[in-house]
Amino acid sequence: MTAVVRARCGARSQTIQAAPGATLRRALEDTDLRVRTGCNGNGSCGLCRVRILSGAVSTPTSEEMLNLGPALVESGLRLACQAVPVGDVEIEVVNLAPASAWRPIPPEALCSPARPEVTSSVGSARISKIAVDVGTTNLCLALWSDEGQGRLAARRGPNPQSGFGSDVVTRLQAAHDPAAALEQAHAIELAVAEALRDVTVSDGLEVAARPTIVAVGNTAMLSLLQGSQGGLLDPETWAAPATWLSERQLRWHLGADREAVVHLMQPLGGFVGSDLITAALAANLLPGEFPALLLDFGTNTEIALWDGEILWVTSAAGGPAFEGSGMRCAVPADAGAIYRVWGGTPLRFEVMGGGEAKGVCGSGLVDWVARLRQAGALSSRGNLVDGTAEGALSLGGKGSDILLCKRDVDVFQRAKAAIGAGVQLLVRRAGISCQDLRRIVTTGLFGRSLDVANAQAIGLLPAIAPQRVESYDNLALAGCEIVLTSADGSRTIETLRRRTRLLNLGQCAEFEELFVQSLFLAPMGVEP
Amino acid sequence: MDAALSTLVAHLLDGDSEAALAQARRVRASQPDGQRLLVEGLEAAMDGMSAKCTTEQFNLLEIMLTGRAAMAVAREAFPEGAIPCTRGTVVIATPQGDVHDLGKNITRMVLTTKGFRVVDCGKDCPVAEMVAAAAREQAFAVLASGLISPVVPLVRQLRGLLRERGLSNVVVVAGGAALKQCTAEALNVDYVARDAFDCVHFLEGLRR
Repeated sequence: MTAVVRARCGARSQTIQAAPGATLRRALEDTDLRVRTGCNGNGSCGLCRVRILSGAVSTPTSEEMLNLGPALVESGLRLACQAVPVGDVEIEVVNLAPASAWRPIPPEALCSPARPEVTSSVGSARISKIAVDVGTTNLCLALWSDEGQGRLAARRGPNPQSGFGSDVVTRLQAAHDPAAALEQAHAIELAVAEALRDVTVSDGLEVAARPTIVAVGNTAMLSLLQGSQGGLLDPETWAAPATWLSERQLRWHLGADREAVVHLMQPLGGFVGSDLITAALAANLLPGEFPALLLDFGTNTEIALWDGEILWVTSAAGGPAFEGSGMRCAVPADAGAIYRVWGGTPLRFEVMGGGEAKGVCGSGLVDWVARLRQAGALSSRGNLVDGTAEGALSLGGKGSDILLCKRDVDVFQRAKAAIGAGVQLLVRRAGISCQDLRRIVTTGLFGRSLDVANAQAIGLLPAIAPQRVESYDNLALAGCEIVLTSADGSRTIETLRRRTRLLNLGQCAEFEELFVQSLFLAPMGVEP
Repeated sequence: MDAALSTLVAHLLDGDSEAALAQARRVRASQPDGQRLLVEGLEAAMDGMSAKCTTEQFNLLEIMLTGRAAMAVAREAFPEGAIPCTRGTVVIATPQGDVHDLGKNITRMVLTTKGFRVVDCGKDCPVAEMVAAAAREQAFAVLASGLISPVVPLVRQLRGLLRERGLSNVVVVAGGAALKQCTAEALNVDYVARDAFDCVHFLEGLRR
């Protein structure tokens, strides 16, 4: 059972749902009340002090007795990396970590079919290898030691290029100016340096003088990392193999006397990046059952279909609706976001972090729309059957300002339809039907929060047996880690590359027909 | 409007192609005048859809279904392809650098069923080709629909190219996600349409 942790520090306070067995340090990781540590959470530094104000936590460990002494433990002081709540607790954070935009990625979020075990390590070590997934909205890093200690830490933070535009086309256009192109490339270098500083301060880890970095990302992001727009605004490049990416290594300065050698992994072509190919590697797409479909959800959703011979790939620019943009009720999947909706009348929901609901994130929207369809409150065309006087449906009872109006549903339908059309086009090209799929793997913005039955009911995923659908948080980064740490990974990537065939949706004659069919809020391939 | 035409309009607004086609056949059997079918059937349905499509009530699927049903009726009612052109000729295209042509296709459907003759130059179309089509087809307007921003500098060239060919009187209208973020002055065009219906209203105003 989850425990409610009420944490405070000075005037600031936050309420969090702690996962069963999670330490207080872990529970605080995704908040603005993170504790400072110097030993990556193995209890040896004694820095992560918290005071238990009420409620019960686990029995003090030997590390706590050693670092705090019996008198301080008796007074209620504990180490956050050791203490586990055994019910609801109220705590005061005594040693607060400096404010940072970087958030730890929990070890289980990087588990994958290719590496199902949790590969984190606890303790001090030197970071010498870094896997980076450069997303349009977020950067994700996995930090590894060279000494066989596995992954030491992982971080997620905002992509600072957003100042040049929230979408890739605007950023690419800005990169026509060579100075702006270099500035965008430099922004990523600075952001990675900042993430490393965060790990150094918060987790007490060291960084080697010459770390190795492998970076994956969508085609536009990789192009911008090189300091150019790569001719990506010319439609002729959209269906062509990506031959523009330089093989030369980049060098990034990551703080005093620290320089990293950066290997950019070649994209597949068009707007399908190397993040999809590392996701396919981590998903075990090739050795697994086929036909298998892989969806990496995002503003630009990348889709791969392995039919046993060919890896069909495409990208569907559905827009940012699922990422919390363009709809009044939508928010990013962060603290305060409704991420799951269930039940009948009234609908019930869960909020990330357990606090007050600020809006609905992608997985919550899928649930909400599916529940409204099931209840008959929303037609398959997207009309509100039983709206309020304001023409909107609310979530959260009377007076709630979390509202869904017809225009919002339209934005949602378009995002879903781009993906649905992409899936159906790949399936057609492979000469199969959606029902032939033996396996569906999802990753990206919904993480593991996507309710498969709801996603199938509204046509976001093909309707095959739900037990054949697997969801993961970040397969692109997990696959990048495999390439970084094993020679087999690079060999499999080359095999995948040789088998790949790229489709550009905008140049497929059937796209419009499939897009219109996919606008219906109904199971994929079914026009009511 | 008589009951048979009202029923046709209702089926069109429902986006029910099959029912609309069946009703259109019944209308044609009793009233062979194609002009009435066009004006009181297809145009009335498009006006109904236009009224429904406010910013708050916009729904792409409904527009697509109604547009397709109206086109199906028009094609059957005027099988030789000569849908009566009562309001003049326009050229439409998605300019070079952009292959997203759904918005253009919707605008073409709405204009066709409202009595305009539409010359569609397709997607990823060089602006010189749009201007050449305007000269060849004696169009009174050139419409550019673009989803992504690389088309912006191309749209700015249209007026100049028309002027070079002695077509200063041809009106230029822009629309689509990227273009409607700009002003008419910034794009060097006569009008920036919010959506397909707004474009039709502007062109209708010119032809009155």
